[in-house]
Amino acid sequence: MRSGISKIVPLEAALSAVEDGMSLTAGGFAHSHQPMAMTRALIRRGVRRLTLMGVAECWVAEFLAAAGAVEKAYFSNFMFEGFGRCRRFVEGVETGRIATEDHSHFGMICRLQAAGLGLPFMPLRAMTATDIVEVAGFEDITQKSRFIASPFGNGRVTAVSPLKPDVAIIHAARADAAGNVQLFGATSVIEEQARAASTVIVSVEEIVEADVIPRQPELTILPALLVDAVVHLPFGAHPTGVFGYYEHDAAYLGEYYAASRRQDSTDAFFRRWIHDQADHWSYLDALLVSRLLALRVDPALGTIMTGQRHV
Amino acid sequence: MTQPTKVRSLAEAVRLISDGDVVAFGGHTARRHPMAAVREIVRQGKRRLHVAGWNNGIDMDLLIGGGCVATVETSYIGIGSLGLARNYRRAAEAGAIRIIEHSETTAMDRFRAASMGLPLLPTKTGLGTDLPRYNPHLKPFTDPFTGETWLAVEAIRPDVAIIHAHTADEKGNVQLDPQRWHDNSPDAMIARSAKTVIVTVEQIVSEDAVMARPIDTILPRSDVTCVAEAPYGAHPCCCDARYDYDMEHLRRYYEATATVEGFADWLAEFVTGLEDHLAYLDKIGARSLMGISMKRTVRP
Amino acid sequence: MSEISRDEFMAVAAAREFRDGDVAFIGTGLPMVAAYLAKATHAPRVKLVFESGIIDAAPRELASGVGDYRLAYGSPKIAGMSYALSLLQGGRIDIGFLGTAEIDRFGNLNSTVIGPYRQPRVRLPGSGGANDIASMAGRFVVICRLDRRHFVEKLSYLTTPGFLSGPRAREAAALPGSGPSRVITDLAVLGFDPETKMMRVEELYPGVTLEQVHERSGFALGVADDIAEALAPTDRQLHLLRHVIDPDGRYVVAANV
Repeated sequence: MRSGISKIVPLEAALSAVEDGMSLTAGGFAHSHQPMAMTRALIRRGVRRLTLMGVAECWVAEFLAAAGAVEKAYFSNFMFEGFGRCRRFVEGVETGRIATEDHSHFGMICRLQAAGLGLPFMPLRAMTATDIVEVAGFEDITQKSRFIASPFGNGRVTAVSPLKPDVAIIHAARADAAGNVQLFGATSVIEEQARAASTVIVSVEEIVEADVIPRQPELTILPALLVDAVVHLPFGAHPTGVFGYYEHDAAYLGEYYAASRRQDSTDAFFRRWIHDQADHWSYLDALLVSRLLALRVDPALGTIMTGQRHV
Repeated sequence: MTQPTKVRSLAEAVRLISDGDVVAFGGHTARRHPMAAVREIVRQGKRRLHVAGWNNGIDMDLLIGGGCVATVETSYIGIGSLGLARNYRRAAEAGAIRIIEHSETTAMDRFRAASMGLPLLPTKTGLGTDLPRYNPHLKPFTDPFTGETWLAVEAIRPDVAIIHAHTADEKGNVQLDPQRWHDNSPDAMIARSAKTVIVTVEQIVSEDAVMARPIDTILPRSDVTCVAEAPYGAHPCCCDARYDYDMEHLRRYYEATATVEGFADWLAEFVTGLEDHLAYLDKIGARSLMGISMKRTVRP
Repeated sequence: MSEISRDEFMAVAAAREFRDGDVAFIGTGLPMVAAYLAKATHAPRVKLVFESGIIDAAPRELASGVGDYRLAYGSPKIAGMSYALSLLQGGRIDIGFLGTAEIDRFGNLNSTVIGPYRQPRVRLPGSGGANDIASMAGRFVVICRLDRRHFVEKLSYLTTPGFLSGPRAREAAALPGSGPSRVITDLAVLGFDPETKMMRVEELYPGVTLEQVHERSGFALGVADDIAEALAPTDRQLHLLRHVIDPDGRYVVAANV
């Protein structure tokens, strides 16, 4: 290993970078590759007063909101595809506990890009002339965006200010000890999040030897220079999926969705699956290994193979 | 016309074995032995089996301790770096089992000859040793061309062969991953020598997956009777680039086999007291299984 | 011939909006069914782009969401969300499809809040890619039920731009796309007056009257001069919908309840 220093650390050590009151962005979207094991660990620790800088990492947002850990959220869209609204997040907003600042997907991405590229603003066409830029949330509307004239006289455009998260938590496929990270399939907003955030923590399904990643360098989404810590967490995205490994656990998502109708049933769900579990391993064993193995995807189809495969 | 599926549950597959059968096992030196099938054989209470392989360990030791074995035929049974196979030792010293001695090459050659459709294969291995004295399947003969003495190794035709591989499709085409260790031809020879061939695999996959790399097919479906999905089906043995030996579990096994009572407790805890292979994996637990796993992605 | 459901009329009407060769930005549900139907019939060269970063998908089965791993099968390019969304800004997307919670007479949409923004009665999911698609796709189509819950005089919050305040408003905002071209509902297909940019009825489904349509809307709808009855789904389209694309009736319920 070139640097001679491994970036692999235990989960608790990695998460010491997340402090109460910090701003947090998380990788993944829909039911895919969200850093759920890290989120559960943060909830178990009792993290508080977070500001989310999210795009579409709905499960992270919902869980943190359900745990009362979220104070503010810059975001574009939190919704459970195939199920419905993120009920605890919505309840937080409707009861005034969570303050919001809305964006479009591309608008959030542009703000993160501006931060990652060290630019004072990013121009974009989206969001112009809508309430996204005309109705203030918790942010000073004039500091969020402006409709400006191009200095070259060739038109007008919306400019958005940068958003720089304190911490990015990301779950990916594999990493080496140096901290190079690969992710297969669609990669959500991870590149922009990692560039923008001050600290980048990545959990991965597998740790590979030093010669593996340089064999397919084009799959490397984050070179080691962008990564501060790596945690080995197999099934660390559960109940979301990881492309090339396992699908999301639809039954578990459904159970949570039902429990999320009310805070008390949500609390019971969290007691069972988060607070009563000492660590990630006991969580996985509570699920049962056999259940996790049933989520494995087919090498060619990329999804769980339907048809004959019973054990 | 769609082909009928060759996928069976592990229990159904093992039910194909009858008491007294000659059953050959793939794998060697604690690598890719079909341990899930071995445990199911014990659970189903198979008796008086003639078990055959070419280098064995916990697989045969467990079957012997489980009361399944009348005859053992292989070159070696031991628990690798940990020590002796003590169920095997106790049974041998009590005269409870018949032992057919081999070297690795003579053991392999029994399967090799059968897989080639030959009645025997010649070898020089074993000449001048006690092997032919105690092994009725090794007989000296004279080469008709040179007049030299050779040992004839008789072909073996097991009733059942069980091997563990990486993937298979529903039709029964069996593959190993592109990353694999050592030579794998003995497992194919073992399969081809037998009348009934059971293959347990880490994962049943789509036809697309098999067709993507046909060179990795070690057994075409015509050589296979049935396939059963058994993830971590070689545990606690290793499985090529997928997972390492579970040394902690092997050590527990070895220590348990110090006494008959110790082994009986172990057997109840890890084999007969568990419903099936998945219950076994649930018991082994995520930390151990993920700890030994080296490659879990399906991407090449 | 069996009854044709409202869902089936909607799916077929939506499919008709695709022109062959269009690059289409779509989400899940009815738009995906419509896209598969279009590709299987009159528009085989339509290229599908998903906000998840899956470009030119060629999936075998109906997906359950834009994040569904099924969509990756056969796709020649898979990237991140920025890649897909920046194609919109670069003018590479011809058509987009959107659902909505609320819509007004200018085709502006709300998916953010009902009630005041800082103290909403109902917090909705948020823009997601909707604002991006509506702002920047060549044109976009809205799919939603025709009722007073959806069709409102004034949106609680303007998430997604239709024609904004009316003629020339999009141009003043330098929005590159031409805006909404069609609104496909369960009773009628609506479009927009080219002069006033206000929504008007263009096609009625069989058995539906203008009175019913007006009664269901929370704002006054114009009526196109050449208003017509919506084309019925063909036998082939129905077969594809019922037996090939959505045989489980996940998004297109086959029979009227």
